[in-house]
Amino acid sequence: MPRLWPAVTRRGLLQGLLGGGALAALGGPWGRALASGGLQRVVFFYFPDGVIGQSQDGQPSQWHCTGGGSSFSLSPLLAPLEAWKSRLCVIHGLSLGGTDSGSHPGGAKKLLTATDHGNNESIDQYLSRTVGASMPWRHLYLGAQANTDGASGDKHIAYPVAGTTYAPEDDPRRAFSSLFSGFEPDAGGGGDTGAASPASARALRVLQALGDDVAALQARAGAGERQRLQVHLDSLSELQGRLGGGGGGGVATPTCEEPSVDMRGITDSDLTDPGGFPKVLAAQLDVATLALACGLTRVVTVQASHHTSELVMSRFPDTEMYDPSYDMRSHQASHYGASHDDSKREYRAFHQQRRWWVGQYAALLQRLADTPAPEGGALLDRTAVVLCTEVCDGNTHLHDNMPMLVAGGEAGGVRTGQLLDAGGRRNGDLFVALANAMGDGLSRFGDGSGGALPGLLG
Amino acid sequence: MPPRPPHRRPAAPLAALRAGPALLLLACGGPGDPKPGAADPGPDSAAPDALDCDGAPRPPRALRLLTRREYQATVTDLFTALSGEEPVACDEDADCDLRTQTCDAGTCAALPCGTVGFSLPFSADGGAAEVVVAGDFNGWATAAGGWPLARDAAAGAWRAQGSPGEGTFRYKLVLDGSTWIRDPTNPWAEDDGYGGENSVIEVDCSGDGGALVPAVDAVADFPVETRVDGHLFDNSVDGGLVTTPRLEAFVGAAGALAAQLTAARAQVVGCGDLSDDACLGAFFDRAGRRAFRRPLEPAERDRFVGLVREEANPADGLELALTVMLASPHLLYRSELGEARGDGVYALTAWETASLLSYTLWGSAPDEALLQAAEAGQLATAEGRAAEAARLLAHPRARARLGWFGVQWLDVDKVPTMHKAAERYPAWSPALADAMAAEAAARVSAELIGGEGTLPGLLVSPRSSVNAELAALYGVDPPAAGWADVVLPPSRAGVLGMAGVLAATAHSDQTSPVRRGLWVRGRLLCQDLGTPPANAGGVPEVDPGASTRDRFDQHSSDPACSSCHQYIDPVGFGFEHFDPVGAWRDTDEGNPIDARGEVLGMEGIGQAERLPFDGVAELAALVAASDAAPACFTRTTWAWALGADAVDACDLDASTLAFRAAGQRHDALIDALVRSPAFVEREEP
Repeated sequence: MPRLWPAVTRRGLLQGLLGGGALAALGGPWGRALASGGLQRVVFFYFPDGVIGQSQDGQPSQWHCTGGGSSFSLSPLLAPLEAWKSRLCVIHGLSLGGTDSGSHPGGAKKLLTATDHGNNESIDQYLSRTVGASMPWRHLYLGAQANTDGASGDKHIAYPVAGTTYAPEDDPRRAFSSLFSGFEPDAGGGGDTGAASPASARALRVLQALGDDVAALQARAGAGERQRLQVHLDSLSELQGRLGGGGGGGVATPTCEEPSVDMRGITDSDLTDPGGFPKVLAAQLDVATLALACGLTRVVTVQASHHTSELVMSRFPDTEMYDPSYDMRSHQASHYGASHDDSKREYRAFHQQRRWWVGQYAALLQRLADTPAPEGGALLDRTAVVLCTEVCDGNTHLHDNMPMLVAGGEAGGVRTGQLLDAGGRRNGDLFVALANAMGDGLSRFGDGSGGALPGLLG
Repeated sequence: MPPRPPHRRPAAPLAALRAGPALLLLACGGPGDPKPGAADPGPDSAAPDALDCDGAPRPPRALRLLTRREYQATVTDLFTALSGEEPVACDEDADCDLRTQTCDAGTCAALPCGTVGFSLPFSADGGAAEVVVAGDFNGWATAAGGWPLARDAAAGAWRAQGSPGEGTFRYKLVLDGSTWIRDPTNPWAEDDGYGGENSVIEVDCSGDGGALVPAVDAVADFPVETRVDGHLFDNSVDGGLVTTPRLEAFVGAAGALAAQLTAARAQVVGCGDLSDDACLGAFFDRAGRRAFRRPLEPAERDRFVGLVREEANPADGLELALTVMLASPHLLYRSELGEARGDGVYALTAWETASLLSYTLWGSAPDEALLQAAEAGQLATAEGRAAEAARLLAHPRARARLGWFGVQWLDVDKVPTMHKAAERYPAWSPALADAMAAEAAARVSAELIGGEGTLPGLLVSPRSSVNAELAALYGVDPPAAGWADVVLPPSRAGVLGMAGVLAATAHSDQTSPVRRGLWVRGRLLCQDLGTPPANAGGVPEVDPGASTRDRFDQHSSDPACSSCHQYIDPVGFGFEHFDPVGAWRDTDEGNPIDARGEVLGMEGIGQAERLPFDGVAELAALVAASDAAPACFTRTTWAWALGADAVDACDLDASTLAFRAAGQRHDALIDALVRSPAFVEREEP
């Protein structure tokens, strides 16, 4: 009998190259302060299977709010955000466009690419190449059970090139280890570019030689392959940046003098067992917060599960959803029926589930508000946190009036404390506005883009 | 490139039904629906060369990133070759040196250093009911500290592995707690001072002797592959992007592997103090030929020597050069760029063809014999490729590779990451889930290579192999130890009744006629029913007292649903005797099971023929007798070979005809593929 599933072992792989931690050998401009103006960071927080919007038979949305401008009331599903109301920009009327409306995969493909069929790079990847390019990590893509049930392809939302996603890191222990093993920030914050260690010099030499090989291959390849090899070259350049060969650096804030994350006793089985989902997600949010606090990256995507999710949310311990006698999955609950009917188990569960996701988003905001930023103040002051999912109502699957929120980032120009009507504009316009706030001159993004979404900034 | 008229449209995308939507309500009945794998259902005796596909579009030129498994196999084979060894073929552990090796993916692989295999043939156990090993390494304890051996029927021996670490150790085998004997399989023994003999082993991890084993586990530690557009396999061409996390894994692994090779340089490099450029150049030629699967250009060789010279300490320089080689894009990608032929077609080089053959059939780099065939120009002809393919298929590595194809084709690879409601299905465990995947792999490879060798045989055969967990689930006698071949009850005939398939196509606490119907349509017939419309209903609740069949009744009673679901649910109902973990059940929520169903449009959506059946065995027989199944399997096999559904419909039809003409033998299908011009010709997309 051939062995198919080798025993799992875990190592810090880049350690093989350096003989120590990935960052232990950093010599370059580690500790340089970040630019002080503008929006510094953006986080995309995704959850699956939509919300309770307007029902098939016309009952009003449980997600969308009433009022307008600075005078609005939070909806029942957004109630967990009451304490954050002044820091929210609730957006109504943003559209993914009509193509594939009615489908989960169609929505997921358009969600961050703002383009039909996912035929574009996604906004997080665009920002990682532009305003995020000088950071040690251009981008962080963290998942919570986002790869279970064989999820791949259109179940993921980050597109490095048009039409192709990649897989998020589902294990917070590994994510932490990749970011922080051997982490030694420059406590002085000086900008001293002192000599690199022999190990990092050799690692840089390796990366440089590999870059020569990829470039040579690129010259022989056709147009399609050249684009994929550019991703390879960009990745080499990112690793070179981390090794002090150029680019910006992380900073030593009090939070990251001795970086650590409470892994909550997570074991391998928690990475696929629904009962382990809440602690895995919580640890990933901690990892994301820490990476931002230490100035390691400016762009984070957190993907909780994936569309048409089999996640059994009725197995989340210590929640109102908990019911071990019955498996209520996210996607199952999303098909709650033609009307908002409290007597139906699916509807009640879906209501609880969506509130739980909003609560997780609120908990992320709390972390960011409580954590000092490298540039001073709190992280949330210059971080825009976008909440999103791939369809509006989970039963009708429509792609209009999408449930999207932005929170935080006021010191970077985001106007919060408002209910903003996007008037049916495409989601790419939201991304243009956020890119502009981060100092990027993007003017259009994706299909049907008309420029920065008016009213978000200023 | 001169324009060439398209011969036929490229084949439509393979059905993307991996974790299908719950419900479908498209207008599915139109007569104009495409029929994938559109070989005309002619007589099985049709001549394979009846189709002239000259001028048909060719698959796109590509660089194909190695999958995790391919990377692991490639560096393992490289290490073995650099150790001066050749891999030893095996089907099971008993074919290898039990003391130092296990059988892994068709070759004997060394145990990690410090781990020792102990064994005692049944013929030498004196009828003992219990055997343990006791020695220096465990305090000579026979009870708590003794290492118990387990009966392994396949090996005909008691077996255990232990990890004493490095050093020289004395030990004995203890039968039934009282009879102490020396290890009859170990010739090295010494006086024990009591008139008997202790067996002695020496464990030395300094690296000389035997093949080096890479200190990297890519399968466990690397980012998972992305499968683009419903591609069923981990080798999706478009998904092979070197993102930063993946590059980090590759470069980190290369560093660790280079350090390992450098430490063992006396064995793998030679060249004394590394001062002789010519000696180093010869080493890089040798290593590069295996790592890049082609000869190095002189400039490439000189550059590696130059990298060694960049460091003051030549050992550091060697490590640098080897790191570059092991993370080089020439190793990480297998090239299918080809060379321009002048007519818009790029012909794969002999070396590219060798890699395509070996990665498709073995999941690893070409062996020395295949490289020599490439060098001799034998792979330029259809005959030469067919001969090498036949040789590769006859090797145990082909069985391991075909098993991995099968697990993914049948969607069972996802089972170990699935959740099932343990309260309702107490048999469910991680070990059972792993066993389901292992069974699927073993069954596909055993039927297609070792058994009848045909697709219909795989679809209906009751033969399988089980371990204790699976035996309990299937209700058959458990093997004495490990795995044993069994004949399953007729109700489980073929892969349709295999536990892994049944678990993969069910929810956590209920069966899904929709998923199971879509699985047959997508995986076996290549029929894509598209995306469900907005406001499709959901999965009906588990309703105490209502059978699954009753709960899904709306799909047939509501015309808006039934236009698509008439193709799906009546197929899925045939599986109702099997619960969400694949166990047999006679009742569903107290109701007797009704496993009758029908296949509407077996040969294509929109066709009116209705084939009634009762239960999985009858359904399997219908599928096995269809024209759509061999056409679909041909298309799936092409997608596996190319990493995308990229073969032209004409070439697909030609392969299908050859496959059917040969009684749907798997080896004939592979033969047809490797002989096809589409196998070795590419064009710019």
